[in-house]
Amino acid sequence: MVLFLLFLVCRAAYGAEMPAEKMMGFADSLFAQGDYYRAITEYERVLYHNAAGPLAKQARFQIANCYFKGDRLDQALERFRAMNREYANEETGRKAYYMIGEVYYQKRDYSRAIDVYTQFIESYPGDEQVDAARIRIGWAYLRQGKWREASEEFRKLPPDSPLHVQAEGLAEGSETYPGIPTKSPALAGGLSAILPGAGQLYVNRPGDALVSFLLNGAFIWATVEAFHHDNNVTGGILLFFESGWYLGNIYNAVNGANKYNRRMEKQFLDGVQDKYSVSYLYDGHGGSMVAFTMRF
Amino acid sequence: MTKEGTRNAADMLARITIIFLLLLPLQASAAETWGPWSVSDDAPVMVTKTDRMTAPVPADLTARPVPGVAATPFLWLLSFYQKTIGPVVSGRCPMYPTCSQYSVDSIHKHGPFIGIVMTADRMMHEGDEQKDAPLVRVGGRYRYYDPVKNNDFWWYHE
Repeated sequence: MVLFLLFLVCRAAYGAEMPAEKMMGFADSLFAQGDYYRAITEYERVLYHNAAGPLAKQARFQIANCYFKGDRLDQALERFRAMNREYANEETGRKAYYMIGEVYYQKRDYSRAIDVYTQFIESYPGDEQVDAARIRIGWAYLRQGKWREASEEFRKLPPDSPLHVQAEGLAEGSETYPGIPTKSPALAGGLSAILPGAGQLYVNRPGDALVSFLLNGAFIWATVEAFHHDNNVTGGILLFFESGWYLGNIYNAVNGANKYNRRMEKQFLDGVQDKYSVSYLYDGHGGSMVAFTMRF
Repeated sequence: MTKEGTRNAADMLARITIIFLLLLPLQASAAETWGPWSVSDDAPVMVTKTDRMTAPVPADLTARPVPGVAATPFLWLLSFYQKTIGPVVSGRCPMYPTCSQYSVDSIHKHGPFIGIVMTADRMMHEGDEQKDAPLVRVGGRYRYYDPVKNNDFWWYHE
């Protein structure tokens, strides 16, 4: 009797399979928490139990989205490409194509991102994400330093677009790009070639300047002294080391100038982003929303 | 076994050892491709975002090219330094990777000539770099993260 009852309980428990919606809900909950690794497993569970069901497409999209949000960009790219191929004529395929552009943008492969977004706009001119794609193209140009193209792209947004005001702001912001302060790497290198440390002072790196000046000064002095006292072998060894320090000093100055320029450009871009903030949000169903804030 | 045979066996052993050592980095990079991960500190899955920052693997070194013949003596010297002098003095290095490892990385990536010039640059810019470089936790302490790619970004593209 006990065995029979146990059998009934076990059978009931075994038979009580979770419906696909509940599985999907749990997966979405993990996704919302940012636990993308486990969310993928749960979306895979949905696929395993409902491969031909209505939620399968959404689960597949979300798996790709998990890779994207989880910074596994190559895997995300592979998945979105597969979805775009498979559902080319459906909304899911369209969204997957847009996401391919997003992946390239996150990978900082801005040229490819621009190509994909441009193709997206040409292929689906009526899609709700067209304006967002244009904003992304503008940003991709700006991140490449092509501020004129960026400004043109931002200005392409039609006046009736909900993003028009922000796009105008971004266009104006892009036009201030030439005002970013820069240091010439060639001048920095040239100065350090004449006097070690001078280029570093020019690029606001006094610590580097002092180290470079003292190191080169000490080695040049020691080398001259060695040759002066007919210690040619010692002089040769010192000259070998000094060559490294001297070239390193020039490289250091040029590197410092480039780092300065990169830092200034980043500050500028962060400032524009901060002022005309654009957030690309993705809901749990493969849809995307664009949110804007403006700071004056 | 004859003298010739002994030499051949030693030669074979050396070759196998070198091939094994060259394949080690490939195995390590293959192991990195999958495993529990999370980018959310609220939902850690064994490896959290903080853990990942603890020991970052520079992306430009995961598929490390085999160094040329000219680089070998420099790499031997650096290896000697890292095994003998490094353990005594490297604890003082505030940077990650340490200067000797940076030198190994830059020689692997760009060859001995540029690698040495970049090493000289690294030794000069340690001080000012600490104003901007991000901190990472390595070996129980924070260090300034300054990989090779932070210093060749303006002329070398992957």
